[in-house]
Amino acid sequence: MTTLGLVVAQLRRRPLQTVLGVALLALGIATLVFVVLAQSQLTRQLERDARNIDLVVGAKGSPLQLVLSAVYQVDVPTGNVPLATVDLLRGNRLVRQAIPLAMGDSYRGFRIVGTEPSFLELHEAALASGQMWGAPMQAVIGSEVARETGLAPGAEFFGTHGIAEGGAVHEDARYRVVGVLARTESVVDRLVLTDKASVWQVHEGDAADEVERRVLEAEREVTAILVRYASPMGAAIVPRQINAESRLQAASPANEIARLFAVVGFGIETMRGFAWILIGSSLLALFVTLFNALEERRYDIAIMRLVGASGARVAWLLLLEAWLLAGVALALGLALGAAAVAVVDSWLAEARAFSLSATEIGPAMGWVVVVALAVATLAAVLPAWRAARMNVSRVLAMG
Amino acid sequence: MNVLAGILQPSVGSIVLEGDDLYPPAGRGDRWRGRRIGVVPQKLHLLASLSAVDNVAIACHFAGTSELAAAPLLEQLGLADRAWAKPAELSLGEQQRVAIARAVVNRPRLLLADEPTSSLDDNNAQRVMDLLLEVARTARALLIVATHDSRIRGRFARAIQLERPA
Repeated sequence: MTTLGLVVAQLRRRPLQTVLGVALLALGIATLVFVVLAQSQLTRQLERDARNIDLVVGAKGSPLQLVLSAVYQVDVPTGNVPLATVDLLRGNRLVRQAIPLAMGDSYRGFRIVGTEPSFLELHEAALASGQMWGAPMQAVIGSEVARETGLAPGAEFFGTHGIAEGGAVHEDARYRVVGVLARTESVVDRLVLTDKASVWQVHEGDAADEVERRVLEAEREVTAILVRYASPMGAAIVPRQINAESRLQAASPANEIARLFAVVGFGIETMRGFAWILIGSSLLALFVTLFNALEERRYDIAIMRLVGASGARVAWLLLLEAWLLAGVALALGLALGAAAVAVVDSWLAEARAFSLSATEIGPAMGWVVVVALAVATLAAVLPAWRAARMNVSRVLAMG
Repeated sequence: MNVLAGILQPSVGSIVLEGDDLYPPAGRGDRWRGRRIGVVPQKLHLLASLSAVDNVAIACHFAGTSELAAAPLLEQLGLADRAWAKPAELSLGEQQRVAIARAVVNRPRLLLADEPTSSLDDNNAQRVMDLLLEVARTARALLIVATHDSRIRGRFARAIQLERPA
């Protein structure tokens, strides 16, 4: 018989009373793990997708919507702006780079974005196979798109009108896949990229004559323009210049995401608080369980003392029991939290937005273990102390 | 009995077991007591979560002696096939034998039994006394029994009658 065997035997005798404390602790840990994983990964993805982008220029509307649609590809665009805006920006000496994005179509929920090769440089995306597009209607697809649709270089597909799944198919939007990008862990993974001319071609159709062609060309538009400043001075001047234009608005991804977090952050904090309430309740439940167990087991403890166990030994047994319960709760909580992350990840993948991974549980692991052990120790310390101080002769009341 | 068992310090005087004071100023360790004094309490208080053999083995476990002694001892006491039964599955007589085994497994110098026959019929009372005397003789331990039971008065070499002071 080992010390651990003795503790397990004692626990197995009264499984129901211990379930509540263990379940509460497991739920608290699961919630905490989920919040921490989701928050850190979403924050990192939001920052990574917006890295290198100082400003987004698009049609007037909600600046947050403009940023969400143009940088993260999760909201509908605010509208279109004339193609001439790109040249206007490129003519500004405070602007180092202006990358046009032409959107509006999709393939199986993945957005088709007409742009320029510099967009790939912006996100530091490299080809895994195939080559860059060399002509309109050639497409380079992100790794997530390739994985989900099975498209490979040489394959062809038809774009769908609209950015949601289930729109009308463009019979004349036949794209040919020429390249697949390596995984970047950024928004690029979920995009179908093509030359911006493809998008115009799909929506203009063939011009009847030279005059109509010129009219169409003059009306060409883009959905948004991603801007990098040439110097920090840009931040002070460029947005003001843009917003002075009646049809244009400029939005800073950093500012808009900070605003978004001010709103969403409240929800995250609430969830975190809820997790701590659960953990606090588990502390109370475990304490009551252990304290009651002490009452029930006072003869067991007295007998252990009688046959040679010291007070410290008996206290240690109770502490070990609490740690064992915490260990079970920890395993359950981590599994539950990872499962919740996996479920939300599948929802997000369905919506073609962001991705979460439960495999990054590693760094969070350390302090979750500390929390669980601390709860167990706090719950057990008073019962253990009382067990150690028990008056053996009074409990046994011999003679 | 508590004082003799080493778990209740006497307010005056001392208890000396084979030359060792049970209550020296620095105190005796619980383990020291567990190895030298075996106790069969009136209420047996077997640990309900443990099998018969483990109820005996905890005495070795906490006293720091070999647990291998537990199973053969139960066999000697006629409980070989009941060793893995939980106390709730044992008869009262079997429980008492397990408690006696727990008290003598560490080969104590002093064996104390508190009213060991009070809840037993005549036959079983005599049988328990046979057993106690037998294990005390085998372990070469001093057996002290506290009892009100007149049925077993004749079994002892010495009897001390305690009376309420007038």
